[in-house]
Order: sequence, then structure tokens, then C-alpha cells
Amino acid sequence: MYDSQPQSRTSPAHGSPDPEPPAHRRSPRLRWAAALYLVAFALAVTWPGALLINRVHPLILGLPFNMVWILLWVMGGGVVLYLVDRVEHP
Amino acid sequence: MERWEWVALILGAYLALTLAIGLLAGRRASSSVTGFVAGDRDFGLLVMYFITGATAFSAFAFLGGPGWAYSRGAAAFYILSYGVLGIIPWYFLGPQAARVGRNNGYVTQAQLLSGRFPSRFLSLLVVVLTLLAFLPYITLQMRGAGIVIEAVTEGHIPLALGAALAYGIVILYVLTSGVSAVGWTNAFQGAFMLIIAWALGLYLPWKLYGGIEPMFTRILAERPELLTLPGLDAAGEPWSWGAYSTAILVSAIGFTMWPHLFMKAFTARNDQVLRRSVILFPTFQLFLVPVFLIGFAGVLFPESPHAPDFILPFMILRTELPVLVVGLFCAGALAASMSTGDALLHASASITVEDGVAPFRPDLSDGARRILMRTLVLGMGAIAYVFALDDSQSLVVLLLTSYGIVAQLAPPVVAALYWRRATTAGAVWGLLAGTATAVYFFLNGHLRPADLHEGILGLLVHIPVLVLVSLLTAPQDDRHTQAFVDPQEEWVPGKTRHE
Repeated sequence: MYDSQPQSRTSPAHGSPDPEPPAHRRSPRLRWAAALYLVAFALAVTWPGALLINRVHPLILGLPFNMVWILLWVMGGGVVLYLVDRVEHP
Repeated sequence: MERWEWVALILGAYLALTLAIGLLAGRRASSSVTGFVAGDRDFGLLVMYFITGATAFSAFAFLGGPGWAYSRGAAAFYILSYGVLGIIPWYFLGPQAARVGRNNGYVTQAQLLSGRFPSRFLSLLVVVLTLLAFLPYITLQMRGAGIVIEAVTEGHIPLALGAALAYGIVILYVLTSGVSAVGWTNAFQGAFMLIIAWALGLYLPWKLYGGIEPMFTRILAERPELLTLPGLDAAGEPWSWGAYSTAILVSAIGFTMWPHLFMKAFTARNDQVLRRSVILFPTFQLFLVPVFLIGFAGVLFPESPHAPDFILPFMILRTELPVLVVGLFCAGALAASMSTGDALLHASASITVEDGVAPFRPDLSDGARRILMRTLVLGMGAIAYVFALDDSQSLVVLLLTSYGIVAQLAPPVVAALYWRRATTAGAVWGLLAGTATAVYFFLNGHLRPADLHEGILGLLVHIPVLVLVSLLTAPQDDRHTQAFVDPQEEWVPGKTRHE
């Protein structure tokens, strides 16, 4: 049925999209915190930050310490985004 | 019945199930171009979550991940580092790109770029770069599927037939159902991969060493160099920090710029779904833990496979696992290959038609575009298949370069959405200069300072050129940039901002 619409490339979604929640409030301070976390993350898992934690012991849950260090930053990234989301889209 | 025949049977059942899901999915979507490319923008959270995860984790993660941990040790941790690093900016960028896409009817990345920077040349340039980056990527996925099938069936189904079989199914459901098939099959395959990886990642260390801690204690005693960052290079020598660090950075920057992942922003039902799938993404990264455990379990294994990428099938066939587990593993590896391969095939066809053909032939009807897309899915699949049969090393090298190329899409995308002063000339010259630099240092690897990845060197040239040329050319109209930098929601069907 849409095949007859040459304009479909410039028309919005077909069907009725879910209504967006009301305009969200941006939190510049939290966005800066997320940006800072991103930079700290990058420095912590590459040179030179990773030099400081480049150890195998203590093994945590059996895993080498340097691997757990990276895992903690990865999980922390999820937490930071969750917090931003909670504040900006309550 | 022979052991391999049971494995083949389990595999066949899995492939049939995938095909059924793929074909059923298509019955929900409309037959428009938007339906084929953007799934009528109607994916919910669960599907979006597994699409993002399953598409990101290709055969490279399922076979290459254990292979790297096995042969290069801690070097593999770079794979763990870059995913979340890359997706954090996407939390902010993705919803904005999605809003601009909905307002203007964009379904691809190049449409977004040439919408902000009106230039058919730019559109074509993005298509060429995309296809260059995609071809080796699709080829590797196909080879991965073929290798797994050949290894597990003890050579009874050779690589050529295995790859043809798996990708015959992929092409069938992509042709029939478009992006809805990609979405629903990936949701299924993503969940499946997670379960298989965790089961094997915990089982193999326990079976071979009596646990995870004893395993790492023994590796530390016998091969300590494997557990120290940045691990080893392909030749078994210590890897350089420059190469390890820039591998993380270029992958993080390139990660969400892969057109098949970027286009997910246009398939999400709304911003909320998109944001939530990003927040949940780190949980998918946990999947790399068992993947690495599988590789490390192979380190002190008495025998070794002829290539590191085979370590997983190699061990599985030698640890007397129940035939059901071998069959399910094989299916998991196939899921990893197919769930990335389908998205790549689908995206390369959509992009070529929407951005490489449509701007020059705007009179092309919706129906003609769909036929062209389907032809291209077949064509791209056939070309990749020919390459997949060619047993040369250069494809892995090409894949690494393709990340350098894909990362070059980041500056124009960020500029399009956040920098009002960016101009068309700036975007085009930046992209040309960055790509040329990356290709130059790829071809002249010995000239790279501090062993840095050529994609990062490309960006170091790209960004200044983009900024300088933009500042030297006339600024764009404020009303034009407004629609990209600060897009407002519009929900009036059939009416768009620029009409």
C-alpha cells in the first residue's frame, strides 16, 4: 500500500508512534559528570593509567586483578548512564 | 548414528528454528521501503537490547575472543574495554540522531549527513567507505560459520557448503522480511549466545583445572607474560602500549559509527527504548568474561589447534562433552556469525540504494528500490562468499583497517548534530583527508609514530581539517542547522520540517 507513495522517504514513521513523554529536563551537571567519567575510563584502561593496576593478584572471584579493574569501569559506565537517565527522565 | 551426524541434526534444527522466526517476523512489517529498512520504527526494548548486543558480538567475539585470550593473553582485554567506552556517547548522540531521523524521514546515516551537509558527493563517499569496511567483515562472518560447521562435523560438511548453507538461510529471511527478520532472529540468537557462552566458560575451567582460580594460578606460574597488559602481539612478542591503547580508542570511536549499528537509532520505537538499550548494554559486555575464560582454559591444554581461532571448537571436540553440548555450541557460534552477517548484508543493500542510487535517481519508485535492495543483498552475499572461499590472511588485516575507516565517520556525525558552524566543505574535506591519512599509514605501517593505530592518526588530521575548512567557508543558515542541533519533536504524519 505504501509502494504508491514516492514521498515515503521524506515522511515520518508509518503507523502511529508511541507518544513521547513530556519534554525532559537536561541536567548539564550530570552530563559533565558522565563526560568526565568517560575520560577517566579511557585513561584508566589505556596507557598510562593501566600501568598502575597491571597486576594479577589479588585474584577476585578467581579472575586476574587487571581484568576485574576493567570490568569495574565497564559496569560503572552502566551505573553512570542509569543515574543520568533517572534524573533526566523521571 | 555417528556422533557428527547427531551434531549436524541439532544444528539443522537450530537453523530451521532461526529461519522460521525470520520468516514469521516479516508478516508483521509493511511492504514499504521504511518497513524493509527501518522496520516501521517499531522495535520494543527487549528486541532492541538483543539486536544491539547480538549485532555487536560477531563471530569475532565468539571465535576470535577465545582465540585472542588463548594466543595473546591480556591483549584480549582491549575487546572488554572499548564497547562501553564507545556506547556512553551514544546515549546522548543516538536519541538526537533518532529524533532528526523521525522528523526528516531519514533511514540511514548518510541521509543524516547529507541532510545537514547537502552534497550528493558526500552521500556517495559514505556509501563507498561503508561498502569497503563491510566486505571483509561479512566475509569473515561467512568464513566463521563455514569453519565451525567443518570443524564440528569432522569435515563431512566442508567450509564451502557450511558457509553456503548458513548464509543461504540468512539471505532467505533478509530477502523475505527485511529488518524485522534481522531484529527478531537476533533477539533469539543473542539470548542463545549468552547462555551457551556462560555454560562453556564456567564448565571448561572447572573440567580442565578444577575451577577459575586454580586455572589462573597455574597460568601465572607457567605463562606469566599472558596475564600482564598489554599482552602479546600476533607473533608472540610483547605488544606495545601504543598499539593496545589506540586499538581501544579507535574501536570505541568506530563502534557506534558502524552503519548497521547506527541505523538501529532509526528502528527504535522511541527515544526511551533507545536509551534503555544503551543503559543495559554493559550487562551484555559481561558475556566477554566467559569468552575469555574459554580461551584461557586452552592455554595449558596439551595439544594446540593449527590456528588460534579454532581453540574453542578444538577443545570442545577433545573434552568428551555430551553431543548435545557440542551441537548447541556450534549453533551458538553460528548465531554469532549469522546475527552480525544478516545485519551487515541488510545494511549494505539499504545504504547503497538509499544513499548511492536514490540521490541520483530521485524518481525511482518505492517498489523499484525494494527490488534493487533485494538484488544487492544477493550480490553482496555472492561477492563475500567468493572471498570467504579464498584462504588468505589479508582479510583479518583488512578488518582492522576497516575500523580505521569507520572511525572517520565520527567527526562529521558529531559535527552534524552538535556544531552549528560546521559546513559542507568542512565535512567533505575532513572525511577525504582523514581517510587518506588512515589508508596511507595502513600501507606504510613502519612510519606510524609510537605504533599508533592508523585510524587514530587519520582522526588527528581529520578533525583539524574539518574545523579549519568549516571556519573558512560561509556558515550555514540558522534555521537549517536548528533542525539538527536542536531538533523538536514533530508527530504530524506526512508533514516534515523542510517541505
